[in-house]
Amino acid sequence: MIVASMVDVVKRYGKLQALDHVSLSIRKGEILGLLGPNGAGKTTAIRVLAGLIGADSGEIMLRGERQDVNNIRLKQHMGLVTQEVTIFEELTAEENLRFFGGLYGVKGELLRRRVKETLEFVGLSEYAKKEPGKFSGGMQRRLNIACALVHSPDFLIMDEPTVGIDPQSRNYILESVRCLAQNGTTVLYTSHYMEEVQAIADRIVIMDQGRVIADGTLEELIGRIQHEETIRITVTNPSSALTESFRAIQGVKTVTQKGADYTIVSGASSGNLNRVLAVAQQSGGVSNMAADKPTLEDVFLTLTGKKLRDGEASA
Amino acid sequence: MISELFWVSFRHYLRRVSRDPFGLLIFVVLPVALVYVLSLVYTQNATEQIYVEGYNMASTYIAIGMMLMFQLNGGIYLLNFLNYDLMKPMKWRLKASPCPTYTLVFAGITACLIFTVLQGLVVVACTALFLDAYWGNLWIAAVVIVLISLISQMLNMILFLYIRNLNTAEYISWFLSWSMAVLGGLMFALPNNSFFNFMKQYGTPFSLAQSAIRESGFLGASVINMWICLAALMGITAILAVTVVKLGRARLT
Repeated sequence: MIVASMVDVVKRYGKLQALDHVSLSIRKGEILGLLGPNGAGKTTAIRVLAGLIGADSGEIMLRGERQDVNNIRLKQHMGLVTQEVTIFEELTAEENLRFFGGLYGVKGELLRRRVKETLEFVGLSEYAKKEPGKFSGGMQRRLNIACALVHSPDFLIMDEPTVGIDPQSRNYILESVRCLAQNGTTVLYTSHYMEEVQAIADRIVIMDQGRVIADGTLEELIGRIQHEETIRITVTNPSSALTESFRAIQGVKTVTQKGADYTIVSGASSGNLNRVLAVAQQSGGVSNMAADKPTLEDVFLTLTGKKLRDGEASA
Repeated sequence: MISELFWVSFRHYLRRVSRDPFGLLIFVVLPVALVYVLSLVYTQNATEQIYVEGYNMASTYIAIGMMLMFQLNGGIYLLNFLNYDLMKPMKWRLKASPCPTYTLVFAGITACLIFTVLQGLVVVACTALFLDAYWGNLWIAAVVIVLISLISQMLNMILFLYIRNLNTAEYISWFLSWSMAVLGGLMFALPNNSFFNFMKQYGTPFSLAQSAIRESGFLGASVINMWICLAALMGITAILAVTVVKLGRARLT
């Protein structure tokens, strides 16, 4: 079931085309990773999707309804974790959550319970009565997330929620996102940290210069750029007969031998890893084996000619 | 639902405004301290009779002026809240919520109004009890404080909506209130001509408020003058409120 979708959405700021015919969809219960360098249009995309700003053209649907800036009803079901920490430093952590819960109509005993549960969820129970102005960056980030969760949204939009924090807090946040998705929350997670998206997203949309340039699971995206599969194996009994046996495996293109080390190149998705291992074990034994696998970074580099982290041109 | 959201937001703003120690210092402690110091200096150097019917006229004159001048700046609370909530990244979180912006703004205005009115009443109480200042009819003084506070909130809101820059809006707000206090004769004696006499009595919200309080007690020449001043203050409040609504609709959607 599709929870949210954008079809052919265009958004311009003056002469700058922030979104250039963007289409994407998010299924119920999945974590969709929206990946792209700074300035790719990720934040504009989520602002349009969340109904914070209007689009110039295109269609945005949420829970089967048309989304626009005046659709207050749809906002009840949505949580937004902003890129910047947006909390009230003069109020305690608990008061922050009570206010944001109240804005979504949560009140009374339910509000008390949700505030307590949410603070526990983000690991800030001990700091409920403390003002966040004195919190560390990581704790403020966790409170920032809690403010978007206190009303139990079933669709959570997270705009670069881990910018500028320590690895421990980052891991805590990523684990929390996984936990939310396991409990049925649909998550749109934007980041320019490839490893984060790779670690938690069920599906990935890559954006660059306001356009969606790729959409699929990690395997699908890698498969799209991977034309060959390289297996490196070190055997205990190298021989020319073994080399021939490797060559005889279906799909193998080349076999290179250097002493006990073999490099076997097959076509993409040949699935030859197990076959190569079986052949090597029949002729003696294997002391080392590895398959070269492209990363999301390689995908981005191939699709855009740029490195993801800083948008610089590749050499 | 909207009224619930209003109460949630109202409590939120009231909590925030009450957590500002500098606000209390500037809007309560400072005016009382200034009234105390200035009236002490004036009383010691005075050649005419300072006490009339048991009230210190130096304290009275300075207390009314100081209270009004600081009340006219009370809208700066609102300016700061609007700046953080509607101009900074917080606006995205608030826009993502089901609470309409106008509800937040209305709740902010109401909370700041109540808080600044309370501050004004504390100044009145302190100066009346400890510095022998005369406030005329206290009900009229309270109404004047409410109207001046409202005018301050509206003026600052208009500045915010037009300028959209906190520092510039704050400077203009201070400049306006000081200018009004000068024209009201608080800082120094003004030339004795029809223009300055008019400005001192009726020319600005400060002058109207000052005149209304004075005319409400034994210092006044005519109670009709007090009603004229109050009506004029109400008229200014209404005009500013209509302007805020129109500007808000155009710029806060």
